[in-house]
Amino acid sequence: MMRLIGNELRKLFRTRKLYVFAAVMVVVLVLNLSGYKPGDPMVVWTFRHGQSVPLGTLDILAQFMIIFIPVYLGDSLANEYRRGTLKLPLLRPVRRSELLGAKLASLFVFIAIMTLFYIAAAYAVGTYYLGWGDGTEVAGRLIPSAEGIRLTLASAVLLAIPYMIYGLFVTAVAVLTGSMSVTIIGALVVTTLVRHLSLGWLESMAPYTLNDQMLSYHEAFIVDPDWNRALRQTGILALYAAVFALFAFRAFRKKDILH
Amino acid sequence: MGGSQATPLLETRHLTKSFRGRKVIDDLNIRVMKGDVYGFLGRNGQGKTTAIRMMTGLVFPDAGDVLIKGISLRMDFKRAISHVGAIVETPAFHDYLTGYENLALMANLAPGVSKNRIREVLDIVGLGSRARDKVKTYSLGMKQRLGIANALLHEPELIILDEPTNGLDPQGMKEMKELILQLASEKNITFFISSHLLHEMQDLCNRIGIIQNGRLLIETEIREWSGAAGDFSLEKLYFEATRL
Repeated sequence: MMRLIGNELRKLFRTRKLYVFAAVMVVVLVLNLSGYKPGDPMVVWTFRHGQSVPLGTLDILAQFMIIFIPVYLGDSLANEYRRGTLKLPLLRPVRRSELLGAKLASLFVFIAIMTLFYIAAAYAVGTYYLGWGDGTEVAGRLIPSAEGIRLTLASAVLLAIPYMIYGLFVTAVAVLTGSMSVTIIGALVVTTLVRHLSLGWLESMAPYTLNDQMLSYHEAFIVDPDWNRALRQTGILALYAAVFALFAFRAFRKKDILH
Repeated sequence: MGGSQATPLLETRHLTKSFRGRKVIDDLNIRVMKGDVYGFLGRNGQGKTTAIRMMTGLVFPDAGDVLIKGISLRMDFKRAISHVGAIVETPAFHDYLTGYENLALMANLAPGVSKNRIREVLDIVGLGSRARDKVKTYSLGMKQRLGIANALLHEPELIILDEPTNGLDPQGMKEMKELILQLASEKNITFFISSHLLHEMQDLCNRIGIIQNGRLLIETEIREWSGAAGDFSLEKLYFEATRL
C-alpha cells in the first residue's frame, strides 16, 4: 500500500498541475487584494491587516478546491482509465481497493499542499498590500498574532475534512463515468446546483449541504465555538463520507477496465 | 513444449461474458501448457481482447473462471497474477515520465525487483540507450518493447501479449518476433499471444486456438497438422476451422 501511495505521489509531483494551481492561487489573491480597500461597503471582507487575510479569505480556498479536486481526480482516475495507464498497476498483485486507497491518500497530500501553499501565499500577498498589522481579526475581535496563526492553521486542518469528502464524491463520479470531462463538468454542475438550491427554495437544507461544510465547517469549532453545531456538522460529514466511499469503492471493485 | 497431462499454466474454464445483452465470450475453454508459445487467433472483434482482459482480471466474467498455475484468479487474484506479465492492447505508459521511471513505478509493485533488474530488462528489449528519454518521444515499436520490458520485470512464467505486432512496420514485426522466440527459448517463458496475422504466428507458435464469435473453434498443436514434408499452412487450417 505504501509503495502504491509512493507511486501516486511521484506522479503528482511530476505533473504540472500542482504548480499551475499554485500559480493560479497567487494570481487570484493578487487580483483580489491589489484593489481591496478595508471598509469598502461593496466588499464582504472586513479585515484590515495582512495577517488576517488567510483566515478571512478561506472561502476563496474552498472555491479553488471545488475546481482543483475534480481536475486532479479527473486526471488521476478517469483520464488514466481512458489512456490505459490505470491498468498498469492492476496487472500487478494489487487489489483494486488498495489502488483506490492510494489515489485517495495522494488526494489528501494534494489538498494539504494546496491548503498550506494558499495560507502561505495569503500571508505574503496580504502583508504586501495591507501590512502585517498588530493582530489577527476574528469575528470582530483582535487577537494576538501567534494565536491568529494557530487559529488559521487549525481552521485549514478542519476544512481539509470536507474537502476530502468532496474528493470522495468526485472519485465516485470519476469511477462511474470514466471520463475526465464528465467528472469535472459533472462535479461542478452538481456543486453549483446544490448551492443555488440551498440559496433559494431549499434554504433550510443549506446547513446540510457539502458546499456549506466546505465554507464554514471550521466556524463551529474555532471562530464562534458551538459544540452542538460542531457535532451535528461532523455527523453530516461522516454520513456523506460513508455514502460516497461505499459508492466509489464498490463501483471500482466491479468496474470492467475496457481501455 | 508442453505435455497434455500436467497442470496447465493458464486455463480458462467455461468463460462467458456479455456486454449489453450481446455475448462476446461464449463458454471459452483454453489450456496453455508450460513452454508453449500459444497463438490465439481470430479476426478483429471476435473476442480476443475481451478474453485476455478476463485472463488478467481487468474484466470480470459473467460465468466461468481463469486459473493460473491452478490458482483461481477470482479466488486469489494476487497470487495468481504474480505469475503473469501482460500487455493488453496498446502498451500505455505515463508519457511525461522516462522509460526507466515508468518501469521503476511498476517495479515498486512487485516484491524483489531491483534497479539492476530494470536496467537488465531494458537491455533485453534493446531500450537501454533510450531509458532516460521521456516515453512521449518513443515510437510505437519502442513502446511495444517497453511493454515487454514491463511484463518481464518480475520474471513471470507466463507472458500474455495482445496483438504485439499491431501497428509495427515490417522491421519492427521481425524484431518483436525474434524477441519473443529468444525469450521463450533462453528464459523458458511461456507466451500467450493474440493475433489476426496468420503468417506472423505460423513461425512463432507451437500451439494455437482459433476463436470466432466468442467461441473456441479449435485448439491444437501445430505439429499434429504438419505433414512429413513440413508443408503446414496455418492459413489453410484457419480457413477450414472458421468454415465449420
